[in-house]
Amino acid sequence: MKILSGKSVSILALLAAGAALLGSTVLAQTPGPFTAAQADAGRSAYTANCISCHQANLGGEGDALPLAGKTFIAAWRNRTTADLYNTIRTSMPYGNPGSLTPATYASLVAFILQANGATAGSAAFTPATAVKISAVASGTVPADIQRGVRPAQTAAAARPGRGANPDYGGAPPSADNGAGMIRSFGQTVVGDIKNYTPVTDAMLTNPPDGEWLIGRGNYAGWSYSPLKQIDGGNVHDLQLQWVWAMNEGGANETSPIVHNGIMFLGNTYNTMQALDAKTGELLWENRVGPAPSRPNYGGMRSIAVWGDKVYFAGNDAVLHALDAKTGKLVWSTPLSDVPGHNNTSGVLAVHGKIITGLTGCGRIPAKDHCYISAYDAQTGKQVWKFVTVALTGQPNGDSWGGLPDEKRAGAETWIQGSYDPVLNLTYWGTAQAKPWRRDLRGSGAGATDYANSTVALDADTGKLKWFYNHAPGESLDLDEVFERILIDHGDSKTLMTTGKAGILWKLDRTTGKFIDSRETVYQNVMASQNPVTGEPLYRKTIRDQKTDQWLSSCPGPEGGKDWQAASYHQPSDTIILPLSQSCVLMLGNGSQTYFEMPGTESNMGRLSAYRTADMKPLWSFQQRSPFLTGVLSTAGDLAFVGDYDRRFRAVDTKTGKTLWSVRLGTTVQGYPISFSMDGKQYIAITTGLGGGSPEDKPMTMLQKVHRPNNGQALYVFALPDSK
Amino acid sequence: MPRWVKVATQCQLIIAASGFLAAATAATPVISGYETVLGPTPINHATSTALTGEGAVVASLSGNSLKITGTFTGLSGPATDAHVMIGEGIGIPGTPILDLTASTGVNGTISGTFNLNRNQAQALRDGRLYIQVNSQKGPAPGGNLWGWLLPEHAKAGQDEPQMGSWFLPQGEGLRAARSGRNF
Repeated sequence: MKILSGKSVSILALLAAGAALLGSTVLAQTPGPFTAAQADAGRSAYTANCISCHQANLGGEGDALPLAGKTFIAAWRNRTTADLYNTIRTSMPYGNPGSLTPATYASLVAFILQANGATAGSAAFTPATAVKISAVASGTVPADIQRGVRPAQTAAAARPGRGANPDYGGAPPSADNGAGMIRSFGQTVVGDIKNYTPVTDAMLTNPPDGEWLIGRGNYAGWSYSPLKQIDGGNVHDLQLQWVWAMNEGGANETSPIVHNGIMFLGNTYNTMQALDAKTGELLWENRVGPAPSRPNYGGMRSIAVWGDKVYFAGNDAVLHALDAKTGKLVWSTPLSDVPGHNNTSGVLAVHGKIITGLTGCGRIPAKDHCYISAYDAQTGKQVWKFVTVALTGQPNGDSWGGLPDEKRAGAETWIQGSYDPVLNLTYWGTAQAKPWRRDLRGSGAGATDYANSTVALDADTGKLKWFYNHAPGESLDLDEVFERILIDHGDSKTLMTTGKAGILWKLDRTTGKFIDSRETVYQNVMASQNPVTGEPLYRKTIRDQKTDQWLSSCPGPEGGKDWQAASYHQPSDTIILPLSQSCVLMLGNGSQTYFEMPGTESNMGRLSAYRTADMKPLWSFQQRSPFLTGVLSTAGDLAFVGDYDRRFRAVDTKTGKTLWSVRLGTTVQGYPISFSMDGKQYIAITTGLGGGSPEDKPMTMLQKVHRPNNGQALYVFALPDSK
Repeated sequence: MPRWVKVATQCQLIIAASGFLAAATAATPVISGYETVLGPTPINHATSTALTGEGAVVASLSGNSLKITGTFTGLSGPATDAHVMIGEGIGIPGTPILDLTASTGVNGTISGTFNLNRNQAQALRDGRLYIQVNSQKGPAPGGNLWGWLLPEHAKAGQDEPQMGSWFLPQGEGLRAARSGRNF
């Protein structure tokens, strides 16, 4: 067989491109610029490197864009195979771009073209092969790929089955996916903690000042510590007390808990550790596993303690209870048996129940919908379940534009909720419907309840008390899922939250009625707002979106605001928000490019403070890098926050002025906390990598900012001992 | 209606209109200074190292005359041309309407003076005009650098807080819409 030269291939490409003008019937017959052997190799490479995110049918999910079908072809029909090669080579595998060989990338292009109806030819694909994609591929997915390509069996996939199984972690299965340092699972260190005091409901309702018992510090989600030993007068003396290296690999977005001088740390790879909070000594470790199915995704954002147990939900959507004194697994319960479902919200302990969310619910047909569910803390038995999608015949079930229930996807809950003990209501945010673009979703102008909403549920029964949809008919991957902060002003019980659009909302948390809102960054997606209900209306070009049109979105999927939680500084009635500033152009659901947000002077990061009583702006500053931690405020009138460029700092809550900062090993990512032991206040924070748009956008846009691609760790700071 | 009544009514209307305009003028100060920082045009993983550069532009409006001057540095390739563009809104790209004079290097200047028509002047006030610098590595239509012309505003350095209020391109945005526009 004669191998065509690059020039010949280019001529073929030109011919193919010319043929594209003549008619699609002819086009489908044009052989693709790759060989059958390449496509076969690409199929294997796909199952090894891509399938966990882009799915077996190449349909994509969430941030992982579709690689086959009408959505893909709409985005790529006018671009070339060389563009596709370069895009994949420079961006994939996610978190480790460029790590495959050129031949492997070429084979992946061949497989993707084949998955879009292209037929193999006699010429091998090379990185220089530039054929217009519509000349060789139609977007028609072959039947075998529609059914799903099969991955090779991995040790992780072959782990013991799910179920309420006390021996789940007893026999450590081996796991080696090559993505990190964890090579085996199971309990590695058994603890023997003598002085452990069970955590009670009273403690969770009114946490002792020196403890950090709930992900966001208290049920109200304040991310606030009443400790004040560290203040503006001495913060410059802060010193590193100890550091604990964490697993490499996985997304590190963790939030430790401190009780009885013990720090419980949710590490990546579904590993739970107990550390002496004063010295950093390891007390026990249980590598429950499995390895994350999507490397660099699946951060475990919160854990819980109640009674004598520690609780966490694995990325694989299995809820675990561990003995707090020994680290031994007590029970495990699957949250779902639907492939693709996973958990990143973490858990909330309320009155002997463990409440948790669910994510990865974007696949269609939706075999099961996303839900918030509660489990008996002693047994792991499910107590209640609230489906976050309004189904046919249910209240607001007509808000999906007539879509059948099996096409009502999304509405994930990927952030820990909050709880009002007086109203006995738990408040959770939900993500948008899937696919996120309304033109692809088929829901027309429907609001798609209860997606992108605040839902208020009875904590005992899961019954819906009220919901408020912050972005009816969401269309741009702008989630409204983040933390709900509960704030009282006299008799006024309010709830505040901010979504990716950057709109700070204030609702009456008893009734769900709109009170007020304020934009915190530039946004061009919402054109107007109902003055009474607060309902926002997307601008017309978004409402009338077409799959083959580029659409601008400011902010883009990085947010505005993302998972990094705001803090409520109660003494000054100030909410402090970590914000990001970037825009995107989206072509259908298949392609995104990013640009600087207008009016920001090239600054992606913004930290802003507002008085919550009247939403008055108090102070704000910008910087080149976005903030990738939540904010912790303290009674010492300090707010701690970290950023992409490795800087962890303390600012004055009254002025925003930076009073202390330190550079850490890599991106500061996670949730800072504060606790005390023996009269000494500590500040803890993690460095971390992995995650979606909040990591991806600065990696791409901040051309002059460089950080190591390793270095996940926990750092603990305190003032020096007085002499 | 007697003629004097008509005249008096017309006078009242003129006076009322003058008063309204004066009040409107007082409420909405005329903005004459505009500015922008230029940054790379939309980039992705594949183009992030290929599309580089930055710049700054100021513009002054006197009557209908708009004078624009600016600089750029670090382009991925020599500049070829630059334009004032118009889009649907702030941060929404569109099409060229005015040609700027541009240096032909990776570092250089842009400039131009134009008489804006009514629509263009309104677009400037609405923030719908932006600057695009094209280069050999970043040719039209996407270009190499973008920056939206927005009213001059107080700025602070890196990490330097601004107290009380700060610039957002939409101003009061939806808050104003809630009280002023039909839903």
